[in-house]
Amino acid sequence: MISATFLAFFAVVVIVHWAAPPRSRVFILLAASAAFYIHEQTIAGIASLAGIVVFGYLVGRRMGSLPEDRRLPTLLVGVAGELGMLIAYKYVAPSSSPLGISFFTFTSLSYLIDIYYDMVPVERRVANYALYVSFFPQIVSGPIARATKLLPQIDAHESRAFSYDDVAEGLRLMLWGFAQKVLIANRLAEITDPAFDNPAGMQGLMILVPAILLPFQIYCDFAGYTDIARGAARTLGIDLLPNFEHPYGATSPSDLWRRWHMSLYGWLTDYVYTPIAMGARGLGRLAPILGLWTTFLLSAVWHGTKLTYIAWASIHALVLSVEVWRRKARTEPLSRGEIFLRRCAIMILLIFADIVFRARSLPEVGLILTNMAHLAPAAQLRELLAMHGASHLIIAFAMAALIQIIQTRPGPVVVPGVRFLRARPARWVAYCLVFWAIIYFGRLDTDTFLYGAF
Amino acid sequence: MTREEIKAQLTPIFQTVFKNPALVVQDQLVAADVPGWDSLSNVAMIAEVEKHFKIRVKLREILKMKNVGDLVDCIDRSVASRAG
Repeated sequence: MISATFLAFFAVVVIVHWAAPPRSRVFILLAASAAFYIHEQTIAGIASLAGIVVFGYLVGRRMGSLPEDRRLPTLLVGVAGELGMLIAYKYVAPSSSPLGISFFTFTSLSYLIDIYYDMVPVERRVANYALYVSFFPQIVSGPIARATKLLPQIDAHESRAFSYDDVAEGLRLMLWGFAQKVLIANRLAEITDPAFDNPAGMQGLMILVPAILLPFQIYCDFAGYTDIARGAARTLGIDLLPNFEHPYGATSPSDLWRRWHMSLYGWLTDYVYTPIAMGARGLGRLAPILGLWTTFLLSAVWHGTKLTYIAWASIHALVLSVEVWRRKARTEPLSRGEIFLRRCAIMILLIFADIVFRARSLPEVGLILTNMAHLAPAAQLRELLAMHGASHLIIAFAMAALIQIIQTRPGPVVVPGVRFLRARPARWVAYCLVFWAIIYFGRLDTDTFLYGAF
Repeated sequence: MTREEIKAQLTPIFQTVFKNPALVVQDQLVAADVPGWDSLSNVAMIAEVEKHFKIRVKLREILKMKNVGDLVDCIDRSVASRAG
């Protein structure tokens, strides 16, 4: 999604979509989504996506023809079929996994489960359902759509009026997404990748400094992608779900998980955690803990087959379980000092868990942590400076600090001089400057996103 | 039992589960309005409500609840069907 080809494709789609008769809009978006996916994928990938679309549509129609209390067997067939394909790809032939399969399978499952619970009506128009599953801005890495939110928008899309504000807001989001990805995430990757790709030779600060920057790289990569996806959809008059709400401003582990990858964890909360925890509610405080562990272990499996994902999920599930177990009465708000300390603790947790997430194997996690303890600050700092240059390191930390400061402020970011930016010419100058910075300072030679791997 | 009576009985349950003695149950109340009411404490709240009213709420009904008003309706139905 960061290429001249994509931008040219996107510009054509936007113009054709808004210029064409409203009744053809869904078909135009569907054709664009098919073209996008065919361009990216192999025959097997295209067949998998088409298979999910046809299978999900037919299972949905079948369930809709049955009374509520007789839908369970059909739902189970649908879930087993779709999850079966996902698991087969992830575990039997991971190297040929179609792009975005984890995301579009969960999007389709949301529809089937919501029909089962009678939360959405059955979609009769196959084109609308196909677009719901395959809408190109979200197909690579989400946000994972929910039937209750996206299908009604698609059904009413032909009556959505063109809005200058939608297009402007969409393009602004995309610009900010590109900036986060190429100016911050890709630049931070220049420091984190060499260290985590070859941790054996990295000691003390040589691995500690990249480890501190790692959560910011992962966040800017994924949040940057999400903003591009949501911005592209918004430009076309469709609102996708948010994925992040200032996660690094969280003051507790549960707070963190309400703000991080919200479309995935919202999905897991509704369809996995709630049924399990509610089903086990006779167990008292153990019920949510049982639900948490199942949810996080499933989220590990969703990410992939590596044992490091299981370890990463277990760390977070353990910390959350402790929080649930120790929850106390609290009527007065947290003091500024407590908020600061809690955010520091969350950041330490993130750094540790992200090392586990990023490492290639469990023994490598041990190696990284052991190497980190071998501190010889003066010599290692000299080596880091020789490797990356002082200005690159200073800018990297300034970027990380900027992201952290933005995240700890509630509500919209107040930029100094924002009053000045309210004038349209000044805004355009600012957009051009960001665009120029992306081209001039951005690292544009990589088009891969971390979450494109899932 | 009227809806007002149900809400009056729900208030002390909510005050205990969400650890807020000033909380008053109203139809329009949603989880976002109550500090500490999340998917973790929601389990305890439903369990306490079931114990108090001697009812069993179906998962389907829990998933569909949008606010406290829906919970009150659900309790109303369950208590009435038990009595009937």
